[in-house]
Amino acid sequence: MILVTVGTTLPFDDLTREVDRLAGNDFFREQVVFQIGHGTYEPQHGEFFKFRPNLDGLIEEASFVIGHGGTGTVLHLMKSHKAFLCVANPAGADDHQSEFLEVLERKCGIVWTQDVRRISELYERARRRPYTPLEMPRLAEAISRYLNEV
Amino acid sequence: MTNDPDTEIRARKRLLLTITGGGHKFQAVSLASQLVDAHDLIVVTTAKWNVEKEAQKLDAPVFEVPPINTFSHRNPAATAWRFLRALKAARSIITETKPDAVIAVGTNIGIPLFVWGRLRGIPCIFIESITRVEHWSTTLRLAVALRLCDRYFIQWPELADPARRLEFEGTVL
Repeated sequence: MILVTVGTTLPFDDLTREVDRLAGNDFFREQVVFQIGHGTYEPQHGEFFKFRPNLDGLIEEASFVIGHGGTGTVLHLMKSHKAFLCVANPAGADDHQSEFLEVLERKCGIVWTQDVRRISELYERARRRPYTPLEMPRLAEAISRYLNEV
Repeated sequence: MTNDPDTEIRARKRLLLTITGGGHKFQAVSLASQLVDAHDLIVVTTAKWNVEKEAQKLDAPVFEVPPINTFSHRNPAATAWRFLRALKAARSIITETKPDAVIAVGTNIGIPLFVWGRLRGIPCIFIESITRVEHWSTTLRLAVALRLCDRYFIQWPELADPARRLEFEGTVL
């Protein structure tokens, strides 16, 4: 199953519409489930819903996730080691969000784009899960050390 | 290692930690899960319904502060009014919970909490969002300018600036 998620803050009908179009052409060869959030476009080629308390179960079940560029979504997918492709939402993708995705691409190899039309082109590469985990020290240890001093 | 129960009790701190929405939530919950074994957590949020499940897992009480600004409420007058409401709520929370430290991850509701924390002599820690790779957030700028915090942590070494007390010690992940 392919999961498409646009998040809970802003609509992203362009993403939903493009994935729906590809699903209609049997591009994915799997069932597609859409979380459309505040969007108004209703997919014709897959089950859809607006919001759920959390998507953990669907993410676990999905073979692949197409997500918006939201930080929580991206970090969750990386932590789950799920194959995914991110499409930054132009309405919400201000400079620092795109900067973050660029850094994750550079340091970890995630696959992302700002153009929904590139989904079909990037899908196979993203499917192979080319990214590596973000390896950094844990800040919690430094915080605990500081708390022991005060 | 001491067996003195008083020492053990003092080592376990009461931490007031913000858990708000979106990417900040994921980061804060990640940090909380790493702190909860050694410390008692108190969660402050802008929407209780959004953190109930996580707070339950952390065995943490939840307090709510009105959001200061959102995508749909970005005008200065509304932001100022919301800030005053947040300041009032923050005072009540700090008074009631008496934390040993206040920690905010990325979110601007840290500012009213830090104001009262600073006034009450409570150590305050601001952790810049991991999405801030090249530029400071407005919240960090404000916290530094007003000298609200005792420690400022950024999550990318490129942003470290000892002269401005911005430290890199890792990420919340």
